[in-house]
Amino acid sequence: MNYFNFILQSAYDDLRRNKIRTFLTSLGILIGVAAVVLILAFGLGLKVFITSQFQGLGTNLIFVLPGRVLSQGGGGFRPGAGTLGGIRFDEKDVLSLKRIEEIEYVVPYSVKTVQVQSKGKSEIADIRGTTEDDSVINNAEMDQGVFFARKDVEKKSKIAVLGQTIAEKLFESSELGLGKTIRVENHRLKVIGILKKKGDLSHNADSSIFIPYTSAFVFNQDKKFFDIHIQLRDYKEIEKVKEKIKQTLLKRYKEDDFSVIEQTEILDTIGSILNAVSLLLVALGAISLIVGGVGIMNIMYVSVTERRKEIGIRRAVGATSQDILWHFLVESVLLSLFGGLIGLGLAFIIVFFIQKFFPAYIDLNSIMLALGVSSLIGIVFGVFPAKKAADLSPIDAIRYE
Amino acid sequence: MIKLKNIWKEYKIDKDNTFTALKKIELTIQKREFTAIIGSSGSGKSTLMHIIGLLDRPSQGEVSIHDKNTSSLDDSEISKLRNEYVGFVFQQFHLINNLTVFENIILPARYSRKKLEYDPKEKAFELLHRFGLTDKKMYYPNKLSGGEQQRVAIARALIMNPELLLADEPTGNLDSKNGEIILDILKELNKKDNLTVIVVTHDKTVSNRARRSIQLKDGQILSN
Repeated sequence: MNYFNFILQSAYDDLRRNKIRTFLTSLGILIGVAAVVLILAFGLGLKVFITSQFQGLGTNLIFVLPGRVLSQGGGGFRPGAGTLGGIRFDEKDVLSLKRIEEIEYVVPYSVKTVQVQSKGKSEIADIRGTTEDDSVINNAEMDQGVFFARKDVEKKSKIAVLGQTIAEKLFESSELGLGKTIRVENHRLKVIGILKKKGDLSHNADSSIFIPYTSAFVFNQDKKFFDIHIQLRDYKEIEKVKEKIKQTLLKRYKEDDFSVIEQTEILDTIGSILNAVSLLLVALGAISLIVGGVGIMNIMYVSVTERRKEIGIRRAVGATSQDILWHFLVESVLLSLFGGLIGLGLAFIIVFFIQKFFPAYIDLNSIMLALGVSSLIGIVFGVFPAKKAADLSPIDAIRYE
Repeated sequence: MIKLKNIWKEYKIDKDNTFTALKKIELTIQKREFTAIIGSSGSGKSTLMHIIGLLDRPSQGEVSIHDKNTSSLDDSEISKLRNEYVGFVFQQFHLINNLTVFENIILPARYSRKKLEYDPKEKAFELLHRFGLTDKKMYYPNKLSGGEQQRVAIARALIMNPELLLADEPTGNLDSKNGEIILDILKELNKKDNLTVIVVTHDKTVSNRARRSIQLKDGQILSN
């Protein structure tokens, strides 16, 4: 048996001899590690969930928004929020943006929150005036019926496409809605299509009513748009195109009046918010780890006192103070690592069951973090008791009864 | 082989008072001697043994082993010497209760950093056989009689092939029959195995079996 095995074996034997004490002592680390790993798993799951929700929004999109948002000094991006300050866009802007050759689609949106009525029912919804291209850039999938076409925009047709949620609210079930008429501020609109559910992050699409922007001017008499979504032919040119869009709009507006941002920036912002929240929760979980570490330190001190005579005997037969230090340090690391491993196992089990309701993932980083942190706690909180054991004078230790 | 020069050992009792356990000890012990250190309790004989065995350091003075002064050695060097050069046998046996007989015997070899010329396991089996403990090798010490425990302790003291065997009241916790057996073993180790043996005792029947006896009183050598 080499030296390392010997030390490891001794520590393991001591822990095994006191099974209940070992388990209770490692409980703090167990709970702490399980908590931290679970928080990370939920954070990761939430991120994956949000990202997948955003993917339903369409890809390769650039958003032109009023006011200053994101890194330009605003208070963060709020999809679907009211006016952020600054200007409102009009048809002239849409036309000039369409002239940029790298751009494939320019889709303007007017937004108004209105009272919608169908037979005896009344609901609040966002009415969005847009073009037929909305269905293309947002990968709209129809549950029933069709999306409106270019000719509907040209003819200012009094028709509407409903999001899944608002359709369910207005009619007993969404299937009953197709072909019915809804009333918005004394205007009647015929329902020609109902969208599949998209998820609540895609600009609140499920609770919105989409109509041709030309028809929406009756609710929106200044004929202005809230924002414009742009899709490129080739995503690689995004930086260049963003600059061209800015230059185009700067001919009419001041720099502070609008923002040109891309989808990844929104994802980054949400990601960083999630990270901050996760960090806070992990810090709370870490308190349990510290408490657990103190528990280990406490038990290790007791153990050093209890085994004073044994330490003395080991010293008498030739153990150096370094050897004794290793004995106790390895023991506390094993103790802590044991708690960490069980905690990790517990987290895996919980995640396994929770995955049926909510996405949660344990990645390699969480595993490494859990094991690394528990080893570190074993070292940090074990070193003082171990040092105490190592510093005992052999003769005082062996005389101890 | 061992030379003690002007050894003093003092303990602090409180802020102003110190207790002097050893005063001005001068002592030389030759190789293969069988020496008894006798004295009543409190005479400083155990302290003297601890200092000879490098378990304790003197407050003043020099301990030389093979003409090498040990006072400048650090903990790991002293521990190494203790491991390789000295074997201890104590009155209370001082075996580790949660290790088996075999594990207790082999323990000093586990701490050895020296490449041993022999297999410590084989040596342990040999010692078990020699002291009639072969059937007891997987027992835990608290299942053994006092005589058996003391033989395990002697086997442990011998596993590293030391030059010096230090026994502190080795028969103190044994009946006279078992005490005799232990003394016979010590005698044999001195004669046949050429070990230097020092026995610390207050018992005249023990010291009578030694070739040389050193009497200690109040921390000083009375007769040599």
